Parts: sequence; C-alpha cells; structure tokens
Amino acid sequence: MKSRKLMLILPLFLLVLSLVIAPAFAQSPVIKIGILGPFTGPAASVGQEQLNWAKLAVADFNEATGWSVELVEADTQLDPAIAVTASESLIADADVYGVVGPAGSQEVSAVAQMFADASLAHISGSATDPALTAEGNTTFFRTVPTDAVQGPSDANFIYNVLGLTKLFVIDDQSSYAVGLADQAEEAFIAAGGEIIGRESVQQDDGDFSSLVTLIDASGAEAIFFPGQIASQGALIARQIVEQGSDLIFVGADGMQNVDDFITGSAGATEGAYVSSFAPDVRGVATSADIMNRYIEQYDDNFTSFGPPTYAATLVVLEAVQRAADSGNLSREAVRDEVAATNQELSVLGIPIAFDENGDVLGASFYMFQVVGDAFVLVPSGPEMMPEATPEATEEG
Amino acid sequence: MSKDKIGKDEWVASYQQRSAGIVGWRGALAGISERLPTWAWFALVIAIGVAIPMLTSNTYIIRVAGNIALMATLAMGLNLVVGYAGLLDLGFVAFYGVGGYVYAYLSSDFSGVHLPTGLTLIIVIGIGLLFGLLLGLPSLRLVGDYLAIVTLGFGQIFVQLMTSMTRVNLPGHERPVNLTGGPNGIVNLDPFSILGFTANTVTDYYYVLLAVMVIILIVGFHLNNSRIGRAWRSLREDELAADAMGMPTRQLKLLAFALGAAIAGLSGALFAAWQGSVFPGNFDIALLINVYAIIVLGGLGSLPGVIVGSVLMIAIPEILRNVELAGQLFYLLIIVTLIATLRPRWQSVALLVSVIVFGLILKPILVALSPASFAALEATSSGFVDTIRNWLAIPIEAKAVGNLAFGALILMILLVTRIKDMRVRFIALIPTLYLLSFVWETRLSQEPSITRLLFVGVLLIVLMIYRPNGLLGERRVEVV
Amino acid sequence: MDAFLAQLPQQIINGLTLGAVYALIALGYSMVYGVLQMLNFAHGDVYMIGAFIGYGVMVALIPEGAPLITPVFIIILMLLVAMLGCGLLGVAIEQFAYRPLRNSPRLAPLISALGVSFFLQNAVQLTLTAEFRNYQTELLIPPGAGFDFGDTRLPMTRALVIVITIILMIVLQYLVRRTKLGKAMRAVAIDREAAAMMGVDVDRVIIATFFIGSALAGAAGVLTGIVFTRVWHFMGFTAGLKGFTAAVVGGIGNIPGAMLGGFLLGMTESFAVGFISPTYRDVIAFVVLVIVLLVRPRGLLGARIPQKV
Repeated sequence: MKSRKLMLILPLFLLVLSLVIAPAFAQSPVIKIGILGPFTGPAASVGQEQLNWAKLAVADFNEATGWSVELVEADTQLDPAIAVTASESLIADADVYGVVGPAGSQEVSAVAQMFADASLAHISGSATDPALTAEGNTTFFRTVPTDAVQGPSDANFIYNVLGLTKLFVIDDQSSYAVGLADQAEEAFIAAGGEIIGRESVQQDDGDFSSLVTLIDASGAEAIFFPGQIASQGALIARQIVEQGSDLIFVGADGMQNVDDFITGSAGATEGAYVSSFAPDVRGVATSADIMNRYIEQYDDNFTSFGPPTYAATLVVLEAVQRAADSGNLSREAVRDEVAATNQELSVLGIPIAFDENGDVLGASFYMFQVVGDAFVLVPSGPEMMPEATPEATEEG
Repeated sequence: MSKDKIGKDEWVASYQQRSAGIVGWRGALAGISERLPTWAWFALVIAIGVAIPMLTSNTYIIRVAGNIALMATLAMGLNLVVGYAGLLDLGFVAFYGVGGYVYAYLSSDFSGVHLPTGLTLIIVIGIGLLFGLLLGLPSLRLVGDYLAIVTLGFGQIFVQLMTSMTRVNLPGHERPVNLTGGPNGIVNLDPFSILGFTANTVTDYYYVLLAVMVIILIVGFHLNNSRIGRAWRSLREDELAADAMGMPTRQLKLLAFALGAAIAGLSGALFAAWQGSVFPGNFDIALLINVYAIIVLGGLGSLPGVIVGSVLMIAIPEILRNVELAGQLFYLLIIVTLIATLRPRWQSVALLVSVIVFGLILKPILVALSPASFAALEATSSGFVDTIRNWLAIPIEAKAVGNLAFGALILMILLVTRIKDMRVRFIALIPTLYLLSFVWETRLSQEPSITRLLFVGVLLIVLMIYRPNGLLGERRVEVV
Repeated sequence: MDAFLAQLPQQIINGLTLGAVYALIALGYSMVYGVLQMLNFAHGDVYMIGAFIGYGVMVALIPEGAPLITPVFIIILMLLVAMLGCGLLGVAIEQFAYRPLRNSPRLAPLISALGVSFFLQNAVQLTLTAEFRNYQTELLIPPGAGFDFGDTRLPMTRALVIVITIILMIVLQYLVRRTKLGKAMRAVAIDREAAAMMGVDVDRVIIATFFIGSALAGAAGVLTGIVFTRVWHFMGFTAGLKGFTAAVVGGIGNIPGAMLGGFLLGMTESFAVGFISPTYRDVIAFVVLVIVLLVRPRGLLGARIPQKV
C-alpha cells in the first residue's frame, strides 16, 4: 500500500514542481504579441479566420526580419467576461508588447480600460462601434473604419444611386450589425427615405423564411442586412428567391465572402449589393502574393474580417520593430509607435495611419454588386468617390 | 461530527462508517478532514485566499482567483436551489444578470443615477428576492423537467430582452427609447465603493469577492444545518413524504428560489462592478453550463464541493491557455493515468518502452515507403517537444494526416476500453498511445483554443464516470 | 387583415418545415427520456454530426458539380448514411458516457452529456474547421421546382422535408406500437425493473432507443441541410434547445407528444415572426410555452401518472 501511495503522489508532486520551476527555466527573452478573438464557439468562423491571418502576418514578418516573434492566442468565445480574463493573461505576460483584437466591439469596451492602464496597444481588425474611439483613448486602434462611416454611405447608396425609398432593415444582434443598422437607418430617413421596418435576427438562426414572407408582404423594396455572417445573408437571398419575391438585397462588409455569399447561395445573390471599405482585396495587385500564400496555407476562402487583421498584426509588429530599433522596447514605446504608424500601402490596398483617437484615416466605402461569381465595383454617388480606381476582379 | 448526521438515512451512515475504514493516504486524509472542526476549514480557505495576492503580483493569477471566488459565490446560490432543495432551475443565470443590470442602472451615466454601492447592493438583493419569488411561483405547479424548461425559458427571455430592448416606444417619449444598451451593453459603471473603500485594482476586487464568498459560505453552512436546511433536504428526497409530515413545501420552495436568486443577484452586481460594464452575452447559457458543472463536479449540496468545483472549472481552462504547459500536462497525465490504472505495475513501464520502440521502428519504415511525404522538421523553442516530434513520423501534410489520426484515435480509444483480454489490450494500447502523441503534436498543440474545450469536455465525462456524486458529494441512495 | 391573410398560407408552410425539423429532434429527446429519465443534452450535436455526414455523402457523390447518380438516390443515400452514422454514434455515446452513470444521481448524466456536447462540437471544429458548409440542394432539386397555390408557393424542398418527416414518424409509430421491440421499449419506459423481471433485455432496449433516436436526429440534420442549406459546428446547440423545448411541451417521454410539440413550436415561431415581431420571436415562443405548461403541467399529451411513493 505504501508504494501505491507513493506512485500516485509522485507524479502530482512532479506536476506541481514543473509548474513552479518551469518559468525559472524560461528561454532567452522572447518578443510576443497577443491576439484576442472568438476562436471557439458560435463566432468561431470569424475568429479562426482572423487567427489564421495573424499567423500568416507573423510568419511573413519573421521571415522578412529574421526575428522570431511569437503569437499568443487568447480565446474570448465572444463573451466579454472571458475577454477580460483572456486580456489579463496577455497583460500579465511581460513579453507581450502589443495585441491584435479583440474582435467584437462589446469585447473592446469591456477590456479597453485594462489595456489603457497597462499602456499596451491593441488593434482590432473588426470592432466598428464609433463609441470606442470617441473618448480620449490612447491604446485602442483599429484598421477598419467605424459604422458611422459605412452606415450612412450604404443608406445614401440605396436612396440616391439605386433610387429606392422603402427599406427594411435587419440586424443580427451583434454589436457590429446593430451599430451599422442604426447608422444606416438614421441616414436613410435623413435622405428622405422610409424605413418600413427594423427587426433583429440571431446569429445562430438557420431559417429566415417567415421573416422573408413578412418583409415581402410589407411593401418594402429592399432589405438592408448588415450581418456579420455571410452565409446568413446568402440564406436570406435564397429564401427571397424561393418565395418568388423581388426584394433587393443590400449587405455590408460582413457579406463580402465569395464562398459563403456567392457560391453558397447557388445564384440567389446574383445582383445583390455589398459595401466594403477597401477596394476588393482580391484585386489589389500588390497584395496578390499574400493572398496566394493564405489560400495555399490556410483556406481558399476569406472574408472582409481577415485582411484587416493581417494589417493590424503588421502594424503591431512594425511598431515593435521600430521601438526595438530605437533601443527602447517597452509597451509605452510600442504604443507610441503604433500611433505614429504610417504605412504607405497596406495589404488592403490603401495606406494606414491613425488619427488622434485611433481611427484609421481616410476611410471610404465602395459598393460592389454580385455578378457571376465575383464582387464587381459599382460606380456610386458623390459621397463615395473612390480615390484610386481599384480594378474589379474575377475570382473563382 | 455526529450531531450533523440528522437527516441522513441509515445507509448513508453505514457508508460513512465503511469509508472511515479506508486505509492508505485517502483514509488518512479522510480522517484528518473528519477530525478538523468546521471553523478550521473556513480558516484554511480564508488563509489560502488572503495569501494569494501576497504570494504573487501576477494580476492574471489574481484575476483568475477572483473569478473562482465569484463563481463559487454564484454556485453557492445555485447549490441552495438545486443541491439543497432539489429544484432543477435552469434560469438561474438570469438572476445573476438581473443583479448585473440593476447595478448598471444604479451606477452609471446610462440612466444618470449614481447610488452609493451599499445602497445599490441592498436594492439588488431585494430585487433578486422578488424575482426569485416570481419565478418560484410556477415552480409550485411544475415538477422536474417541466420546471427546468420554464426556468430555461426565463433565462433565455432575459438575455433576449436585454439584447433587443434598444428601441422601445414608451408613452411620453417621441422617439423609441434605448432601455438596455442592446448588444453594446452598459459601460463605464462606477467602481465598487463601500465605507470609504473604493476598489480600483484587480487585487482590491479580489478581496471584495473573497470576503463576499466567505460571508455566503458561512450563511450557507448555517442554513444547511438549520431547520430550514433539513426541511429542504427532506423536500429534495421525497416531496410527498415531506408534505405528509406537515412541512410547508410551498413556502420552502419559494424560499429556496428567493434566497438563491438573491445570492445570484449579489454576485451579478459584484461582477458588473468588476467588469465595469454589462453585456447580454455575459449572462448566456454558456455560464449556466459552467455553474452547473461546478456544483455537480464538486458534489451537489456540498459547500466545500462548490469551492473545489469552481477551482476545477475556472482554473483548468485557464491553465490550458498556455500551450507549453498544456503539452507538459498532457504527457504527464497520460503517464499518471497509465500508472494508476495498469496492474501489475511493471506493465506501465513496459508499455512506455514498447511505445517508444514502436515509434522508432515505425518511422524508418514509413520514411522508406514514401520518402516524399516527410521532410526535416523545424526546431521549436523546447527541446522536449523537438525530441518527441523527431521520434514521431510527422509528414509534410501534418494537418490533414493529423485530422485523420484524430478520428482513428477516437475509434482506437473506444475499442481499447472494450477489450477485456489483458494481453490484447496491452498490444492495442501501443498504437493508441502512439496516435495520441501524434495527434497532440500535429493538431492539438496547434489549436490550443479548441484543445482547451475538448479537454474540458473529456474532463466532464471522465470525472462524472469516476465520481458520479461529485468530488466531495455525499453518496446517496436514490430512492426508487 | 389583408396582410395577415396574404401571409398566412406561406407562414403555415414555413412553420411546418421548421416544425418538422424540431419534431424529429424532439423525438430523440423524448424517447431517451422515456426509457432512462435523463436529458441527453448531446442530442443537438448528434444532429449536427448528421448534417455533416449528409454533407460528406453529397460531396462524394457530386464531385464536380454533376451528380454521379440520380439525385433522388443521392438524397436517400444521404439520409440513410447519416441515420446509420448517427445511430451508431448515439449508441457509442450511451455506452461510454451514460451507461456507467445509469444508477447515479440525476444530474451526473446531464453533466456527462454536456461533456460529450463540448467534445463533439470541438472535435468537428478541429477536423473540419469552423467554416459554414452549404448543401448544394440546387443540384439535387431544381431551385424552381414547387407547387403554386395562387400566391402561395410550396417549394419542392419543403414538401420533401415535410413528407420525409411524416414517413419517418409513421414508421416510428409502427415500430413502437406494433413490434416486439416497441413493446419492450414501452415496458421499459413504464417500469424498468419490472420489465427486466419480465424478461425484457433492458440494455438492448436502451441501445435500440438510442440508435433510433439518434438516427432521427441524423435525418433531421440532413433535412436541415437540404432545406436551409447551412451546416456548421455550432448548429446543434440552438437546435438541441429547441428540440428539448418541443419535447417538453408535448409531454416529455411521449412520442406523439414530441411530434406535436415540434410542429407547435415551429408554427409558433413562424407566426411570431410573421404576425407579431421577429425580434421578439424567442420571447413569444417561450411565453406560449409557459402558458401551455401552466395549463397542462405535464405537457400537451403527457399522461397524468399518479406519483409513485
């Protein structure tokens, strides 16, 4: 009996020992950057894509510089409370000099103060709530423009360019969609249009036929669905066709997903409109190399949530590099370097620099229409004049 | 401790006598725990709790400890309802949410109200009691799973309303009013501040949460040993009999609901103050699952069990965030499991050696068969990992092969547990262990976030199978 | 009123389709509850696996956008393989996660079921990623196919789902009412020990119950794929909750009750969206549910069995 006791206690003792001693044997100081996102759970499709793009960015950076920066992933499951703990795990790790994320606006508002207190810069590639950058924050940045930019441009497009006056707005109860829908609704009314209805669906809904029936009967001419999940948009479009309705579908950048929105709808989204803040990344010649490597290493499909995260990761990495080159690698220095970011050409095909609140400068939106199996740029109203003419692309 | 035995039946008493006869270290531990007076246990918990921030300045560890204290407090509320009174309440987390939102309404610019924290907490507890009574009323008519579904519905409705009520037309307002902040929640809440003490740092909040947990622990302990506690137990064991004995079953049920809800409301308010914001997503079913897992893993109706359960359910997923640590734990766990389950003892050593030899033979064969599929591996930062990766035959298409291996591994594990013949099982274990290591290196270690949750799932199944009554639960005979 | 009448037939069709899927899931819950008195919270994830198996069969048989065999056979194969696969999965889950807990406190199998649910979801995410997959229904059933009644349209996909569901239910009723196995199942549901004493092989009955219940979930998964097209690793979570709700509303443990509960829930949701408020759909559905349960505390068709003492 004595030996049995020992055999059970010994491993446990070793375990505890390893937990205590492991940090003492830690290798030479490494530079880490963190990434926060919903890598599991209902929003995992968004989170995993962002993670993959961030991994690619780190690999590219390491190869270009010969450094060996580590990417630490911290899963938030899109729950702000888990995001808080996950953020603390990054903040408490002194080797972490910058963070990508969190993905959702509600997560950002739950953790922003913690990052500010730790002087740790965090850059989101998908949090678009305008309120996040409104009040003198110093550590939060984003590579995507806010809902306050995209919502009104979508509304103006629908009213002025498409000439539609009766709109039905649906959000998917994500903070992304609600903010966007609110902004668009306000602008649409201001422009003189009429909002026939405004309703919410949920991100795990798998059927919209009853909603489509309702909207079809309501007299609306178009549905504006700024959802986060492109396959939900595709399903709405499918059910519009299925019920023989002629509603026009307009989505926001969450819908810009070839696999889910175009291929997945089996032609139902043909002619649908989608907005996007950058020229379609697939058409940016300078980014083709990165796109190809992503397709080769991770997935042949990507959405508008991915490349902005690549851009955000590179912003962090380059800030770390500049801080290290100036001989002062600290969180404060990295934060200041992030604020001073001035990329002439990012993966998104546009320059990246931040204003004093952390918002990306010079953001403008473009409208795309689904033609065949690609998103094709639509010439649009005066508010949305593109600065550079991005080429429409053929993507399979 | 004999005076605590009231309310337990003879079988339980005889079981406890038998368990006192367990020899070895477990018996010794059981003996110590029997002899230690209750206040000493409380003192021990408090001492450990107070010591944590003094031993480390790592805010992450302190925050996780704070989460444990918070979840333990919440779970004690649920334990009152489920563990003591035996009412399957699946809407419990909504009370936590009510507490959080009430705190948010009373201490933020969202509503423009800034009450002192002390007053807010009293209101929160009052509202919690009230909501508990409201939800308790249907429980008088419904039993078992019908109660479960109605309460589940209540929980869902709460989250749904908090998400949706952003544009409500109220009389006297021209435009729709935002009542709840929707998915963007209510932010910038006032910090917890009571009697001149304002919590600012993680450590401050940790002490507040710890203090509240201890208070609730003491309350729970006394409730359990009071007339009410015994009455609840009789209700849980046999409602009809309790009714026949003249117990006021209606009032007892309502009381359980109300007290549980009040505790949940209080924890919700503390949570809101700590996070500084509330969102509907804070109060969804994922949390409910967690709290249930805590009380069942710890042992239904057991107070120390709640703390043990919280430590398990909160700390393990956090430990698994660290990839390297998770890897070490993984291999250690395999070895410990082998040593603990294989008899005679030399078998585990023989098995490990066989697996190593198996790998050493397999790799050259595979490489010889298809040299193009294998390439030199890149070195990682850990020598231990490198050794294992070099021992395994990891192909270039590691991801695809790893996925297939994962499926094969599940089948192998299911098979191995079915094999009765010792020798066959020994032989089957060799490739299984090899696959286990292979899958870890090719897939699991690459996807730490997914692996975490896979682990939690396996942990729940295994723990339940080996300890169906929870880790510290009393073994009870189910009356059929 | 006009708007109401214009929508009504279409909303009934929508509700029936949704209800069919809920009913199939609810059946599994209810059957398992009948024999074991346990809530199998992993059931929703079995449904998810079924949808993925169907997807796999479809991809295998439609390699380059052109079906290898007649579409009707593909649909039948998808259903059969998914039902078989899910049935086996259900039996395996029972063997490993629930059987050791058969005489444990009630909540132990519940937690173990949650463990299985975590495991299945994340195993799928690990191996098949978190991406959405789309059934290529249009290659199996021409998108335009359907029946028109005036302004109302019954698409072929929906007709198919409703018909298959009804066929499955009839087969199940026959199985439970007319066969020896069904008799044994009912006996075990009423009193497991007494049934065992009468010579019923309880273990076999439980295995059969899990097999049938899970197979129905697998069928529900494939039908979901055919009519709603989207398949992903987390789809079982909500669907499981809905199925559970439907089973309870109908009277848990009661097979016709589960069917009725499923259709009722589907209709309620559809009508709530169409005629009251899409945003508050779930709230309305649950309010209806609570009212039903307050009027009939044991569900719509739940028997009022006097409590055993």
